[in-house]
Amino acid sequence: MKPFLKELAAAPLPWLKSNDETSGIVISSRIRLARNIKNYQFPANLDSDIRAEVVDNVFEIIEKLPLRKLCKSFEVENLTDDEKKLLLERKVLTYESIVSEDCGIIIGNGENFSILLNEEDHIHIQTIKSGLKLESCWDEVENIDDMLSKSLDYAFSNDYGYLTASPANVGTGMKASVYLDLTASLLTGQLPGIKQACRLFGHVFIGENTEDDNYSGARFLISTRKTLGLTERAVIKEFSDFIKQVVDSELKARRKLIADHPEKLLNHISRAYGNLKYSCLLTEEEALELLYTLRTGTELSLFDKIGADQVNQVLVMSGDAHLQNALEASLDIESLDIARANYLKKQFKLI
Amino acid sequence: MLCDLCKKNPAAIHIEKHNGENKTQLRVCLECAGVEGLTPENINGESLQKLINGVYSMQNKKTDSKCLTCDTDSETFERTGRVGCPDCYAYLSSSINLKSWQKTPHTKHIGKTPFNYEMNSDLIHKEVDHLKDLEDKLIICISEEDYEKAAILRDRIEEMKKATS
Repeated sequence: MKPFLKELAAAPLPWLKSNDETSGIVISSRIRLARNIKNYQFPANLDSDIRAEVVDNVFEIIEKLPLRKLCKSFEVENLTDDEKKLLLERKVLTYESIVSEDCGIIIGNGENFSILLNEEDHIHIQTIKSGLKLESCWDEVENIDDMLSKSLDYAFSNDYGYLTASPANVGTGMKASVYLDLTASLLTGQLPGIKQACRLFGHVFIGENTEDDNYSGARFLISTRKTLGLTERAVIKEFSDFIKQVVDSELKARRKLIADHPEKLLNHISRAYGNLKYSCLLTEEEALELLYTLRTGTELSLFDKIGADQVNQVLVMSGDAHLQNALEASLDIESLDIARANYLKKQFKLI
Repeated sequence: MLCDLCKKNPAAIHIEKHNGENKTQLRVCLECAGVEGLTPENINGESLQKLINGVYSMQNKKTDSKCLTCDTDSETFERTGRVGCPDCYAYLSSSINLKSWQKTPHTKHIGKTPFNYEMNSDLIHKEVDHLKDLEDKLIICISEEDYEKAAILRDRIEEMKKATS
């Protein structure tokens, strides 16, 4: 593994920390900005040599900026499968960028930002932070955007703003999203109300890794839809206010659940602990699910066998690429599931 | 059944239009209905009629257009939901329904602009450049006897001249 990536693999996730302001309900905030370079067609329409030219152009520009000292650039094709999986687990790369040809990735030191090249658009600038911090994510992303914009001519129109491959992004090119733990809302049957509120306010509500109602666990993604008719800061303000209301509603549901049916919540968390303690095989998805449930338990002070920081630290290491790096071994799928179950038990001193 | 407009959400309103023996059906989701002015608090004969008129005029506006820069046509755009290049927004404007994509009646960009971008001067130059560019392309198409493309270009030039006059 390349030294820079090896360091990343051992580091905690900057967007997964214990946070007090929203009692751990908002796990992370993310802002993504889509930009395209003038006089080039969008990536899906470009031949391989032109796609490579786009990546080279951006890499060259970064090399001339003071920014070069603050980041590392990679051609995705030159990364090994383990390195790609590692960046996928850290939400720096997307599935699409791994299967597409001639993509590039620029990662800020400390992962405070990343720039993905030639995915759906030429440039996607992204920042993810722990907790509800959309404004500070925007400041970071805007700063990078301004630096690039001095050296690159963007595809821009007076009426439609920044032009993008999907009309869903045209305008500001900005999508804000938050990743939420809505355990109590799920257990008290309040999710349909939250979904309805999202629809009324023009936001998108999705279960993790799904685009329909097949929720996996109690973690959900809510993201903005509008990129026209409002400024970036107005969208962020409106969206942050909306998320604060969702957080309030989840807090109320948590308090009510603890007061009226504490066994419901305790059962949910204790089962996760039991599974973790006695499982001999754990897939990546199962491990994440169990660990996030324990995380909810620690945030609610219903579970004190393990600290919140320890859960967060172990959460990232349970991904295939992170686990193999920690164990310094290359394993097949079944061996990975066995190793993961053992690794988690050891981390929590269960064996 | 998915909404005929956004092709994403489940349809909630079904409209049938009978014209003699011809029957046309239309299915719209609540979000797209809201964009056209129909909300749960505002269901009456007038708002329904407004929705129907809005939707049909939107459907009738859809024409078989094609981007002359990257060859993406309206059929490809409707199938993939993606345009091929920045110029598609001008050439395929009749197919790209931004109100429906973004579930908002506001389709004007009011966010930040690129560094050193001068709004007004650039607008004038851009439109003049674009018109000149189209006229040059028209001459080339006629000389190459590509009358299909030439007809699209002629219509686009007329549209642009009308809009700026």
